[in-house]
Amino acid sequence: MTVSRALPLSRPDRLAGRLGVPLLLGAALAWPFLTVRTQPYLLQLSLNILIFAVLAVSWDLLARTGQLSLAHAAFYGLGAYTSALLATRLHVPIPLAMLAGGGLAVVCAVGLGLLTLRLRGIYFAIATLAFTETLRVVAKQVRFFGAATGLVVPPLFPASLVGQYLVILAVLLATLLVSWRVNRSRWYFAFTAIRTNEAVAAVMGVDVVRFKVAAFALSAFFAGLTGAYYAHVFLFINPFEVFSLAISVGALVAPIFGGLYTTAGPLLGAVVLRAGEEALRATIRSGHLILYGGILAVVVLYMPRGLLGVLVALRLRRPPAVAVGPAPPAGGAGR
Amino acid sequence: MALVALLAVLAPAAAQRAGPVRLGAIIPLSGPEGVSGQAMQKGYQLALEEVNGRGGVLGRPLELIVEDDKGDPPTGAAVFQKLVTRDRIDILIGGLQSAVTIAVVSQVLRQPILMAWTGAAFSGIERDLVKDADWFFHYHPWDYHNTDSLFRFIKSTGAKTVAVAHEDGPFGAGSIDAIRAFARNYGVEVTFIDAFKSGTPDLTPLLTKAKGANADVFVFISFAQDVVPIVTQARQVGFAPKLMIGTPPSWPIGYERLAAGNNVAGLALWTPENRHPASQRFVSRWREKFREEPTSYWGPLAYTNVVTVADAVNRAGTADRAAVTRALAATDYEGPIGRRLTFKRSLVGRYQGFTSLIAFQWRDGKQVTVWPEEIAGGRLQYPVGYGR
Repeated sequence: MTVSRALPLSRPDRLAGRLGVPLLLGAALAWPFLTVRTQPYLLQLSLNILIFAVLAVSWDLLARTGQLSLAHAAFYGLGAYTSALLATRLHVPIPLAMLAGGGLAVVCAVGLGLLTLRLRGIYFAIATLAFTETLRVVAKQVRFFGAATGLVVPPLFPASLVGQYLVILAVLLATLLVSWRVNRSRWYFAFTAIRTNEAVAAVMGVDVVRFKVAAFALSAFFAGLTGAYYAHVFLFINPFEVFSLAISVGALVAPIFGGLYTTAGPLLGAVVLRAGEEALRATIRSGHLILYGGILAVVVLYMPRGLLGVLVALRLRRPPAVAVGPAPPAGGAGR
Repeated sequence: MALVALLAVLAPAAAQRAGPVRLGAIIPLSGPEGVSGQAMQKGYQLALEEVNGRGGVLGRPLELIVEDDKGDPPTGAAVFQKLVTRDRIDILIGGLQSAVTIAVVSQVLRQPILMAWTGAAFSGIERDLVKDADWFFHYHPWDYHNTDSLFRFIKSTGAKTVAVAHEDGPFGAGSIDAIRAFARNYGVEVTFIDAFKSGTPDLTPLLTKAKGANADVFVFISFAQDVVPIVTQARQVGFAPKLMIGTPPSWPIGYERLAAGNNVAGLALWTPENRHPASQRFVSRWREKFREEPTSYWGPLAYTNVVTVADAVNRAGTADRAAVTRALAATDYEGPIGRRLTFKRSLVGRYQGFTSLIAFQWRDGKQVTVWPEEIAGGRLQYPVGYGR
């Protein structure tokens, strides 16, 4: 069943909405060809932003069920290690190795999910953190995995920054598509019901564990794939980098900043945070991190629905430019 | 993407080719290694003042653009692109952490530039990425050079046995295989090896076990934050080997005032007590300019980096890469590090600078150089007889 929950829009708004996505997509596709010769710095920076955006959007998928996961770094690291080991030890072609990285992340997410998704709130967060730490310690101890020293990894498209960009853009588009489809299907109601009141959702017939495991698996797949991508683009992984708590925390900060439980919010949050951080770093040589932290604190304190919530509120407050047809029903904002 | 595009507006205008000779440095000014990166930046300042005070290079001013990699590999890769394409640097210098170095090298492989690199001790870099590269000059010793220096020093003391405690990250655990191999080669028996998590407040169980191994020398491979707990808690458990040797990247601030830290030895590329005239001149200029003591070797190493690159450009008579590469390869420089710098082949790399460390011993708050003998400022006290 497909459910339509469009915002109440005037015709110009609808037109802008219809044009907006193709325009953005066109710009994202044209971007590497416009910048590769004149501004490869911006293109390189875009890789970092897109990696961050995939992590943010995929983390949000699980958050929609009300679970705060700190296992995103675990799946990211699993993807990185799986792909690196397959490519270096078994000489598996890199694209296949990357997919295998995502696949193993899914397998582990399902296993971990079945064990832990009955836990809620802080208990679930601690269980996922423990899982990440366990993987980090194992990777650090086992010589086959490169132990604490880490692994040097073969490159993906070594001669082409454009090729590297297009791969991570494709991964991001796939993540956005999944996120968008989830929010326009009956899964949306299941996730929202689980997040709002798990007991009531169960009484209403929602298979809570199944939906949570599915969300966990989807979320893990993209994290694993992105970890694999990271390994083959930056050519070195060690347990401290790829199983770092900073990855899990970064993945949850962007959706909170941009707007939780939406597709556009985590994307917006990731782009604004990473590009903003770089802009601050380039303009304020010392102390930019203080300003960056201050901006984060203001958004969290005064914009509880994130940047997207503010944008939607501003648009709803604006009177329609052209009155078309009957008055639209209320509700649906912010998704 | 629109926000990223905005960055273009914020950026400086494209460099003029006829202007100054431009160096670009990638170092960590923030993050866990920020203190070392800031010391490097000060070393650069001293070198730039000196070079430009003498008329610059090729009759043009020498300009240095420093970028903060934050200790983060993707940031290192991105700022490399900025330096090369936007700032149009002629030569890339700097470098501290191995992971960032690999990310930068991954870019240089695609976009060759002369890389006069100070940091990164992980020898996997030369083995897997820059083997035989004619664009990579490495100033800092590799990890196997460091371990070789450690065991040559231990051997020089006459010690027969050694106990090792190391932090469990890449810094500490990465050299364990080499430690076993070098110990065998130098005829020193390793009676104890154990790991600890950096930042652990109570290390007495580890130190009690190390004490039980009854080795002549105790080596701890740790970060600065673990040094004080190790030396003070060793006293608490009555662990008094003939010599304690620490190898932190930099010693904690205030260590010189720690009574329990007296007579502990350390290995480094350089110490402020180095008696070489160039080193003493460097220290006095540092004190004058920054109103502080230089605390780590990253300052003089960064200074050496800029001065030797500038000298190579002058000798080459052009900033052209091939010519500067040949000139840099012919470097023979004796500066603040106090030893001659030339570039020779390492295990697999083409241009390796320093290949050994020196040993010092803390005496009344000073790092007295004790090994090798030819540059020693004092005799090693051995056995020490650490009290409780």
